[in-house]
Amino acid sequence: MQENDSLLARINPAVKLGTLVYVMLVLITTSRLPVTFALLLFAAVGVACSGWRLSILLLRLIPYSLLFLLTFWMMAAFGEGETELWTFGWFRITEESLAHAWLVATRMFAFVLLSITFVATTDPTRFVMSLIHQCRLPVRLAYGFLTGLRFIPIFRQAIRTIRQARRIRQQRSIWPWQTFFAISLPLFTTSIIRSERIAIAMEARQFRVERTYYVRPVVTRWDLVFLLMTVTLATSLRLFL
Amino acid sequence: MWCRNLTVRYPDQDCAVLNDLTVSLRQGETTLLIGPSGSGKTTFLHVLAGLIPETIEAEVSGEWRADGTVGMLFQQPDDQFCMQTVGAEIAFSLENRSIPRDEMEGRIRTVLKRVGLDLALTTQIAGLSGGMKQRLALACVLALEPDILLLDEPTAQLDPHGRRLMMELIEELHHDPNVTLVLIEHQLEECVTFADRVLVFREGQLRLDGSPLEVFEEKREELIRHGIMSPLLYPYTLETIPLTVATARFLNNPPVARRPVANETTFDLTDVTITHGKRVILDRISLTASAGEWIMLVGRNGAGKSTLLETLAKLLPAQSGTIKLFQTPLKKWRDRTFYQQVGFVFQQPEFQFLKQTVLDELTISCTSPTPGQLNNALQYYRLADVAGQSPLALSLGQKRRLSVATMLLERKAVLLLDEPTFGQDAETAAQLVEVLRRARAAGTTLIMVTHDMELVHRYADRVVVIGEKHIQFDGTPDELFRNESLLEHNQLIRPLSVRYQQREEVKHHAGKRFTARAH
Repeated sequence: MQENDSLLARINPAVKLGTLVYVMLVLITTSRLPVTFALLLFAAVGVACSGWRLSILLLRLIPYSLLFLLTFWMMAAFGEGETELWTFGWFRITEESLAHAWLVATRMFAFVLLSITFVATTDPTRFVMSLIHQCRLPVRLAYGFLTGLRFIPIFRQAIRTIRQARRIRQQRSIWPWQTFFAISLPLFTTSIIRSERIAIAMEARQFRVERTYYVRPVVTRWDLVFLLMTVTLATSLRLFL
Repeated sequence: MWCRNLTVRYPDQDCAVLNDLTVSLRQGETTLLIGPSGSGKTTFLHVLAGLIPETIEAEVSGEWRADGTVGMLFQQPDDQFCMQTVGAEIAFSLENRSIPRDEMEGRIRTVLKRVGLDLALTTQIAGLSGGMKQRLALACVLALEPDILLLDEPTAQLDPHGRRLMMELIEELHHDPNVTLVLIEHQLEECVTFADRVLVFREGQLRLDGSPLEVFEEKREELIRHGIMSPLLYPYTLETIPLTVATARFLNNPPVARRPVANETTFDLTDVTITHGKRVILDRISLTASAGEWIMLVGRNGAGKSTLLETLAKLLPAQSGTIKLFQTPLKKWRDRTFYQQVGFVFQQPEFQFLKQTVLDELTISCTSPTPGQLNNALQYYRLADVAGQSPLALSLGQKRRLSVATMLLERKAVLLLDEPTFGQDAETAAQLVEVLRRARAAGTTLIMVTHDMELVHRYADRVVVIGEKHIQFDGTPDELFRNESLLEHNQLIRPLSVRYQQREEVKHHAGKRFTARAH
């Protein structure tokens, strides 16, 4: 997650989240394929404006494209329906299941694109600050969340070390869940100790709820313009297409 | 700032950590707290900082008071931050004090400058070195504009270079008449010179109280009797210490005699290039190691020492060149047989344990363990008392011993170690060295990354300096310590004993007394 210089990055994070959630709601409430496709296109425009380089974007979309194909195949091959198009063994593709598959897979992909648009253009610190100011998120909870973010790279490093150690000592587990526990147990015990230490350090720096703010996102006219335009567009697509 | 009859007990313990403590500290004074671990020094600071009993649960009785704002710096550089970037982190301190937004930018730059960090405000904290993190943490505490500054072993987790910079900063703060400093530190050499007062803690009580001269000169015998570290040179300096003092004899001790190593080659590297993504870490390096040789890798932070170790351990692939172990390229070794020959001790021991008890941990380390062999190992590594405990519940020193034990139960041809003595106390480090010396005598090649130059001086057969993607030096420690520009360039510091011996040598050659000069 990084902030960049794209136009979308300048929108107030809370307003952006609200807008995108609205588009998602519209997606859920429609069962008409043209509308879903139009909204997918709309989300694609959003991603294209997110400021990521095309190559990186395509690379990150690969797993989701696979998910798209998988969802499509599942819904198409195992869905119910009357008009049979093709059968092979257990697989039975009908006209209805095909239409349903298109709808669900497109909807899912539109969700993914909208989420990526948000993640790509939002700095986590600004996002949390915006939640404090615009959505009245309790301060203690918000700072707890920000502190938690710092654990992600720490976890990544720890997991790498544990995997290396398992390789060196030639420990292989028979079941995947054994690997999961072997890795997560030391991870959680150490992080409980660390989070306690961080909490003490924060208290020692006189953490309190009455405070001023270094990062203070405000809602500007442009945020409202963005909100209105997007909501109008999504609603009219839903109603009139 | 004072306390009277202060007693503190943690909920899950029977004895009090602090027992009937009465002491008062004067404004502008710098106080050094020493004593064995578990003697209540940190608890005392926590009380002064107002963390006990509000944040940390404990039973407290007695009276105490601290006049003015209190700031506290902790031991772990990584565990003091809650934001992502340098600017936001310092701003967190200012926000807590309700400083208006317009003033923040200026104040942030002021404190950053004060601790000697020249960073953009948007720099990610995760990418900083330990030393820089600790200086940033100090900047955050200074942003509180504290009248009283409590420092809990601020340099214990830093490499020598970071430690030196931190000590300079602390000494600067000592000269600020408005700041009262209270300092716990094991790095006594530097801080006795400026401390106004030393308090010695033992078993929750104040045992000695006086000026550094009173404590370390007059009561030195008493400290030694209780196993409390005292500074090596104080009250003398390197220039003025007389030969009759025990310390001088210790410093004058030559390193252990190095036996000739066997001719059998273990690792053999030719033109090895290692990259991380597109960035070249090491560029066409060549290195040969022999059986029974103790090689130490030194260099700056991020020079690629750990990366080299990981490559040797077959954990990272080399981009080009050949690495051979016993004349067979690494790629042709099968994991199973390879890791019977090569062991690896990680920097953080807690992540290399795989089992629920210490005994199990040892059991999976040998191919066919016998109870006798396991018992011997438990005795040898002094883990018998904790055999049934979880490895994660051990003390730092025990964890380190166990991590080495798991690698050395079966004889290995090569043992790779990533800063095994880092953050350990002197006693644990000494035990570790003893274990490693025996392994070396049995013919194991030891390749070890370290920042401890005293260790290099005393035990290394060969020292390899890594910097700027190349091997800058490969030879004996003696040669390295004579090469001034090389040391300077790689941020290496000659250890005290080498400095002393070199000085003695100069005196000897001059044939007359060397006139003492302030350093």
